[in-house]
Amino acid sequence: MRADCGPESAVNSASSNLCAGWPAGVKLGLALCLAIVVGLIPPEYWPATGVVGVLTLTAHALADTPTNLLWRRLGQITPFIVLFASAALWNGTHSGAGVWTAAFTLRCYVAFLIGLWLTRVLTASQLLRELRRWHCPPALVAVLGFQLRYLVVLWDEHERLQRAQLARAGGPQSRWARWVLAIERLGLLLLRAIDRSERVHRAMLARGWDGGTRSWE
Amino acid sequence: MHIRDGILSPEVCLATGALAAAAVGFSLRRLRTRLDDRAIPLTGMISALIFAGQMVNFPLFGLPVSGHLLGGVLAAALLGPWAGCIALTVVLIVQAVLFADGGLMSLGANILNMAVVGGWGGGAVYGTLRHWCGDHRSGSVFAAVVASYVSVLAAAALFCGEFACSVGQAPFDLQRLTWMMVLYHALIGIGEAAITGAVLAFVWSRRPELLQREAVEDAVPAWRRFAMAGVAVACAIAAILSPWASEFPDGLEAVGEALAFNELGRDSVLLLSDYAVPLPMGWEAASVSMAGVLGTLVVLGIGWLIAGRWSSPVRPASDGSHAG
Repeated sequence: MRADCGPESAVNSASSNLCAGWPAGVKLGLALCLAIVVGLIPPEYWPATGVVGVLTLTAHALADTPTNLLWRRLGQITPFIVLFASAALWNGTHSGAGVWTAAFTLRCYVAFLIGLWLTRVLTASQLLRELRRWHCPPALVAVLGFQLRYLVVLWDEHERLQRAQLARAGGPQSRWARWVLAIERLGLLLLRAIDRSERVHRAMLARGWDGGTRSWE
Repeated sequence: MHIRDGILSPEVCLATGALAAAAVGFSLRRLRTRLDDRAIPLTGMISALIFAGQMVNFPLFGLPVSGHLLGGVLAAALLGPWAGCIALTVVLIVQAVLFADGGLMSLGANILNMAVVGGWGGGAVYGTLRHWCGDHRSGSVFAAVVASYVSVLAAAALFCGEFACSVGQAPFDLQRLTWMMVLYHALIGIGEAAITGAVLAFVWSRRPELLQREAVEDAVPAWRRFAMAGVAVACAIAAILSPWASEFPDGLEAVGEALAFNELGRDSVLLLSDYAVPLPMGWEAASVSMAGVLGTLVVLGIGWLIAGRWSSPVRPASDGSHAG
């Protein structure tokens, strides 16, 4: 996970693309089905994986996925995929190693594109509603709701702390100093998160919370 | 550390998904029965913090890469193993579905490797070591450092096993991959251990009462923590070290070879010949690892059965209030 994709984009943004209006269950189910299909295609039938890839790219076009986002995210996962894909070539004795490596790489990229499409079309509130509809354990959905609600708050707090630390430092810092500051930031954030959870719990009780779970949107 | 879709086969994804669902269900049940309703906002807040913490990248000294917190042991230290497992699970769900970080199909494997191993295993190792080291700052930080390191290595070893089961007939040198995974994660583990230890030391210096609540001890009795840690260490040794055991014969075999009486004995093996699970393509390391873990679990099961059969149950002393 990198800091260049802040939580606000996924948690708060209301997508306005062609796929955004589809029912959340259809979007989640479609992404899962495509991921399973891609996983089940044997390496020798790699053209079928390519067909699913083309379909996924079409879905990305419908979802208005920016091209630079696609390239950036694909670039981020490439080292991971190449590490595993090239492991088959290390042997060098098996005749099908090349085909297997190519098919494996294609499968990983297509599966990743499917997941990326889902992030473009599914909002956090839709995910929560869908999980509730699928009878996920209420405690799990409640914790998920709290996490999504306070993720943005904590991230804002993190950025404020970082700005304050940078302002106090007044110039470039050594690696060790940056390391110590990051630890201090994380520790302070942790203490504030615990304090905030106590305050939130008291506020919930004051409003008559009975331990049940409700939608946060 | 997040496994992407396409790496593991659908069968392995299904199996790990079922195991993860059972583990999360058990954690939820324990969370509901043992803790009050304050646990829900606290777990949600800590999971949000771990999510944010995973976005804070740390420079790794001397290397052109950075690391970030995984948070399994940190969550277990603050919330206990059950709520820690739930917090990590929720983080992984959001990362997979809303950020495409980790696959949808491999979500179960990710939960098993990071939330269950980190929360349960890491929490058990942390609780046991802390029990031995004492309830003070250095003891707690030492326990967290060791538990974080062990949990990262255990997750890497578990992934190698899942991958071995996934690739089927692929032309793969699994032993070399396992070496690379363990070596690479040995370095990542140092970063994770340093971050977890430093954050816990910071919390101890500011708010020691948060860690003195004995969250882990409240959730799991001492004997069970000891047993869980023992099983985790035994399985880790069996999985990681057994493939590199010496190939030389043991004492009796050496004498048998010298005096030529080895031929007199005939092995009648019931299940696993020569400590190996039959795997395709002759993956000797994975085969020996799996046999080691299987053997450890079988011995544990037999011990459990014997203990259950012959130990007399301890009944609480009656105060007579229900009499008559």
